[in-house]
Amino acid sequence: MSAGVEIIGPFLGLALIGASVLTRFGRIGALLGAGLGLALGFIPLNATDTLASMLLAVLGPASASFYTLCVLAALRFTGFADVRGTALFAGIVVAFAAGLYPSAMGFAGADVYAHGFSGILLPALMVGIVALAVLLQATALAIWFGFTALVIGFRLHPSLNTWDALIDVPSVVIALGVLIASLVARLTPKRS
Amino acid sequence: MAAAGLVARLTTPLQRLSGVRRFTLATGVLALVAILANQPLVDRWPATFGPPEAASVVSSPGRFEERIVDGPRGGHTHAPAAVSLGGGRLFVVWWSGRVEAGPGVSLYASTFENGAWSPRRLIIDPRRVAADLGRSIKTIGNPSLVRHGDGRIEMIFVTVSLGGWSGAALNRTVSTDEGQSWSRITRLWTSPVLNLSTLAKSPPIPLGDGTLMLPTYHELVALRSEMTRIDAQGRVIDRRRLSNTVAALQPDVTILSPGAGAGPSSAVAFHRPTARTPNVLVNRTDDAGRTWTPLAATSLVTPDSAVASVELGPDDLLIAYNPGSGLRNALVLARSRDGGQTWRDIHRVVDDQTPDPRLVAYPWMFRSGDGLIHLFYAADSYATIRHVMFDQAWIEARP
Repeated sequence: MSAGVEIIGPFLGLALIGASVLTRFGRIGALLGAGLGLALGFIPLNATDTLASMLLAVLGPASASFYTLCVLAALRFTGFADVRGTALFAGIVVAFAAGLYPSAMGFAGADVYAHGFSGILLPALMVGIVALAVLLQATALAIWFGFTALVIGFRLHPSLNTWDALIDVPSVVIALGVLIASLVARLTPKRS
Repeated sequence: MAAAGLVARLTTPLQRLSGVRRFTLATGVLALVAILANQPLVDRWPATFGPPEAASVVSSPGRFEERIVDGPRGGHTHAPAAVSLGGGRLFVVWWSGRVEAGPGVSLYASTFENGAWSPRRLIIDPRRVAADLGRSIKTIGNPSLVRHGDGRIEMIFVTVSLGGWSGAALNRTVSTDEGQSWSRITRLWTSPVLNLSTLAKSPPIPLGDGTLMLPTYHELVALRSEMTRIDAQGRVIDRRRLSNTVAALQPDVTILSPGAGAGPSSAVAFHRPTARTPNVLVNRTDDAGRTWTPLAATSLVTPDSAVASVELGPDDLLIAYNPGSGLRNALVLARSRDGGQTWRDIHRVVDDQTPDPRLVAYPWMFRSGDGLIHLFYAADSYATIRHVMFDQAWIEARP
């Protein structure tokens, strides 16, 4: 796994931020913002680091969740309708994090992260989520499944642990924001 | 015809699915296939340890020698890790820099041959790591070394990109020329939380299938000892957290000889405790590290300091530790003849009782194929790396 492939994540993240800042100016603004975001990634911070390499050093390579969020955001910024199942996808990512991260930091009886190396727990969980996604026609989850296959199949993440292919910390933070925004939108329906 | 009928029967329900559902099912099946290819459904931790180093113990009348490997120097010199190169030669690596965890801290090495340590040489600095990994590196920390049967030296070492030790990650490199040059450095992925806060301090243990069991520890928020399994390509393929409730770190594993209650896959791990619970902790495995007993306290009290251990014989263990609960002003060898139940101090390697004592810490101890026991440690308030070697006869002569 070369750092060249891993560096895709920080550049995509910067493009996403750029697009979100300029999306108020329509599709052209979003595209311009994404381009500016990409350009920011090349800014040198010192003799050896660019902004993108520093972000990679701190945040690590992207997971399938991150790529999915980028696609969902790109569709939204370019004027397409919200993708069905986005809130459910965000909820699953946040739920995974709630189950995984406290244990990873030593605050639970079981080592949940170890279940990403071997065992039936995580595959069984994913079978259930696939069934739920088919039942609810959750396109956002379908995109996530596709990226999961790509991340694992093409080793886009250096970790052999399945959890790392599925979620990462920046994605969880964004997914939490998506989930909260979705809940707020449901609780405060627009009236004509 | 029958096959065509079967295919039709199987695909008819799929054809009834909407386009979105078919797409979701297709990507879902792809993801499941990838996941099942990625992780085995059954635990594949090997049942045995790797073959022990061929020993040709030379009986001697009692030998104890002490040497300075490097120093004293200004700044901070710490955390030696060493292996035997065979034929009485040794190789040691440590980190040194202006301040602990400061910019520019690098790994240095020295080789012992013909009865003397070579001048130190720089082997890896943060620039080299940053170039190999393609990511920012601020500082370098503890190395851990193992020499394989084919002569390769595998080194796993700590780096930090941002913050202090809780922001650490592990890296791996290999030397095929006895430490003169090192392969491209790769990152070990050990934690889902930004890959933060996994460190190592003690020797890796070869397992029966050629993989390594690296004693590691996690120190982001909670202190937890772990065993991380690494394959021949340097990828993390499994791990065992030794306790999710007891604070412990820097585990040091000693494989036990069969007999006297120990099986062919038995080992003990001694753990650095915290200042609040100052007794050295211990637990045991009888299946080569797959499962471990709960952590228990030994009678050894140490001031939040690392320990190192070797086996002298069945149920006969030797440990190097900092005694007491105050400063790290002494380093003691203690022996247990009952498998670690009770301990007796047999030699004070360092004992500085002056009002402003020079501190000593981070023992690394192993037994080479010629039967000599080698103890390395940071001394003189972390300005010097020292090496002590002694044999079984010297130990037996201790009162």
